[in-house]
Amino acid sequence: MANPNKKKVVLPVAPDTKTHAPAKHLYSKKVKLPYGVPGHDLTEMEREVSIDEPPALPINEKLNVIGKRTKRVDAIYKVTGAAKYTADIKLPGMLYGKFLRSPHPHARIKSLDVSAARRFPGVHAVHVLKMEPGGSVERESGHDVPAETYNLDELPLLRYVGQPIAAVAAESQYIANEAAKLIKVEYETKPFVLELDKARKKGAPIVFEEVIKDEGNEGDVGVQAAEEQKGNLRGPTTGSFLGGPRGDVEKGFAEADFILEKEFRTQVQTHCCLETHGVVSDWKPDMLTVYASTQNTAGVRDDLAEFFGLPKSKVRVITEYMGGGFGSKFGAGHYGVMATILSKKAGRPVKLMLDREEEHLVAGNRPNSHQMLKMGFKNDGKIIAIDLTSYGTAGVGLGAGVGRVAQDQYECPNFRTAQYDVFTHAGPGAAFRAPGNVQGVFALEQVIDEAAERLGMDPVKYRDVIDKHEVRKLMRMKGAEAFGWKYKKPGYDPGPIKRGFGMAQGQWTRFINLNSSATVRINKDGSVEVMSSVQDIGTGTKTILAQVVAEELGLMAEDITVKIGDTLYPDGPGSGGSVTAGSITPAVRNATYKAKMELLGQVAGAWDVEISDLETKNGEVYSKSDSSKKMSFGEATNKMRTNQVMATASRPDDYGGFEIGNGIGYGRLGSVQFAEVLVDTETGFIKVERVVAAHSCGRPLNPMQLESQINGGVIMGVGYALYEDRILDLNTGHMVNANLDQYKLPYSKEIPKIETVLIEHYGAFSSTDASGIGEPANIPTAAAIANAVYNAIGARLYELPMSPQKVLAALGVS
Amino acid sequence: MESPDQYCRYLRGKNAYGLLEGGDKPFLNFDPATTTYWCLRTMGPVGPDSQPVHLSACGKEDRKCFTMPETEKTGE
Repeated sequence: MANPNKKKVVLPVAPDTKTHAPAKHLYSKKVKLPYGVPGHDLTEMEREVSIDEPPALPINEKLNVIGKRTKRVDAIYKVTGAAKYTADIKLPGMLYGKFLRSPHPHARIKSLDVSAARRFPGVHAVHVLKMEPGGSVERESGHDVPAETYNLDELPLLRYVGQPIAAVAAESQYIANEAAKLIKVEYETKPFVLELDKARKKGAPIVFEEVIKDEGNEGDVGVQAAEEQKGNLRGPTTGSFLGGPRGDVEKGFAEADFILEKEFRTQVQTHCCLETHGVVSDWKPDMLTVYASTQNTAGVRDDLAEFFGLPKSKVRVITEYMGGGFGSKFGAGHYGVMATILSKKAGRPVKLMLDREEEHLVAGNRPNSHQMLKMGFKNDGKIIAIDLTSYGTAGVGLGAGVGRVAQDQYECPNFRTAQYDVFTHAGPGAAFRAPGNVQGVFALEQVIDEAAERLGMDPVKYRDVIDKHEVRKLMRMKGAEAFGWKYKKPGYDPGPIKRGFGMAQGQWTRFINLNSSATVRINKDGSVEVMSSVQDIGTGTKTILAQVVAEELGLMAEDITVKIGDTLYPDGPGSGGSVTAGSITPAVRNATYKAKMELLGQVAGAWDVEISDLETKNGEVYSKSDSSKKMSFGEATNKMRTNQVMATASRPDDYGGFEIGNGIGYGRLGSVQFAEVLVDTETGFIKVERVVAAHSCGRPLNPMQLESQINGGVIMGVGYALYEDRILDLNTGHMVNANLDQYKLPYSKEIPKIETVLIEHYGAFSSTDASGIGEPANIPTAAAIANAVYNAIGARLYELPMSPQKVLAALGVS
Repeated sequence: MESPDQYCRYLRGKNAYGLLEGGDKPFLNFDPATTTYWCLRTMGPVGPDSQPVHLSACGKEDRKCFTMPETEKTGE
């Protein structure tokens, strides 16, 4: 319960915001790095960096491996099935876990009896979740334990369908599934609310009955306003790390030549990773080993170490191959903890992978949103005021805001936002590829499109007026050129099937995770290894690490053995927020450079030359001043005095420091996408024919993989725009489409032709100058499609997904 | 500004920046509107006291389930 005497808490929104300066170095040097876009405005930027940093890399066209289209180093293992994902792991004596989950959206447990489940042949452990301080508590294991009586106060109040209650571990998945059904539970059901609008209304069933203090974030660091939680409503949040309200919004609207005020709605999108969430947990007295389908091996290790009171050194997490993750696979998860408890109780490894239904119910989702966006414009196109109010539900969780794009994408002197969370009796939200920004861009970019039409301007040219992001301007130019952009009057096509063209843009912050380390080992036999706990979630991290090491050593990517996804190695970053490439590749290059210097030092001694006279290129080590001094890389390593040289490095600060804190880099990652659609005005069906996606992510390390990630982002955007929608039965709280049949993702015939335009953009930020692409690839797609649909039919859709019914309704024919 | 130490060691969060852990100095709550929180003890968005998990609700004076970051580990 809230303490009324509690002193006012000031949230550290960005506690290190004054740490703008780069880290100090005992010894530093100045290096000149590429800066800008080749063929456009390329120049050099001089940075003062640590003496340990490697020399500046030139632009990609002067490199041999980095920037080249390189096949995935693990492709052969994936296509042959040799790659082992967590779902493939099978250990000797392994048991299979299964949860019993709440069948009710709101209920109290009246009684619980696990005796039948315990007695079921093949069952080795049963565990019931309790909610006392101290959390989940083990019960005695074994079949001979009599049925336990549970104190009802210890058992959780159930607040959504799918909430975990207990789990069993058995000798087969079938036995586990059957045994879980044998856990007898009596429920006292309670009123519930599922809908965003209804949950906000007075008299709605309350999700959390006890009112707690809410410290709404006023945005600017250190400014807080406390207010009571009102029913299911929580907030508002009025700012982000980019600041809070600015200017005088009312004055701005008064000065506007015209105002556009629109309402938008977006749906709940559930996580649909190809490999479901899950682990194989193997509790041994001397070491807990966990195979996890995770985006963050180090995070899972830390969670389990904390939960079980173990030192981190006694927990090993392995993710050799991983079948996709979009923000929801970061911690150990309730399944990870439960599998470990069951393994500890049973004394055998336990595999606990969620099934597809559980994925939809409990693995997380992108919250829905109801956005009221009001924007004031001058007749010259300038935006003079923005006022954004939003409501969204992350079910029993929080985090349903709509991001930072309205705040930051365009210049506007007067801005405010109020973003509210609304509790409902539904499964919790989770981070989902560009959390908030995807919802926010759907609204913002449609209003911008409307403003362009009001001003009589081409939408692309209008954005040139209001968007000061120089690289995004180039993206618009090159993207429009690739698309063959020509503005067409909305709803102009004759006949029932109408063609439309639209575009939208987005941006993403350049996040850096300094907890990114790697070791590079050069062996006497010429083999080279790179090691880090960073995981490859399907994006191609293994390959770009191989490329970076190979480039530094003058080898080819296939010459490098990449050992990642294992916490035995130095900590790598979690893979989310588009942080991976920008965080880990500088650490890898720096470690390679250190190891190389060690090797060259030994060669220089043998040849009696200076280290600076030596170079590694095309598989050789040679003297730049004496052409007679040359040998293969393998011959050079064979001359090492020791069997191996090895170096470890961690991600240093960005060259030039950070914009905010110790991880928010200068510069935004921009994205611009163009869409061509066909809309059948008789049936309401939309077909996305083509998308041109123009993106920048610093130095492109492997264009082929970048294209692949952009393709994935666009496809996910098509699903969000047209198909995906969590449908809850309002009478039972159950999700009626918790599968991959009725919860529709784009199938092959619904995937448009996708063309990518990569802008090679150097910012002189690090020894690789690379950034990620995961988030930017997904942000503007739905908005671009929406603008294209409007262009096709002359009627605008303000709600996702843009189903045939909504199209017909917009046309006034249903 | 108060010490981030006041946040429960079992508080967890995920935002665009990454995974946030209670007891971190600082707890990088960069973007509260889109940050999801959970409790490591329950592995869900509801704490052991059946109340929501959130940075503002998991300070030491807020909840009976609060655990100081420096508390000795006791296991599950």
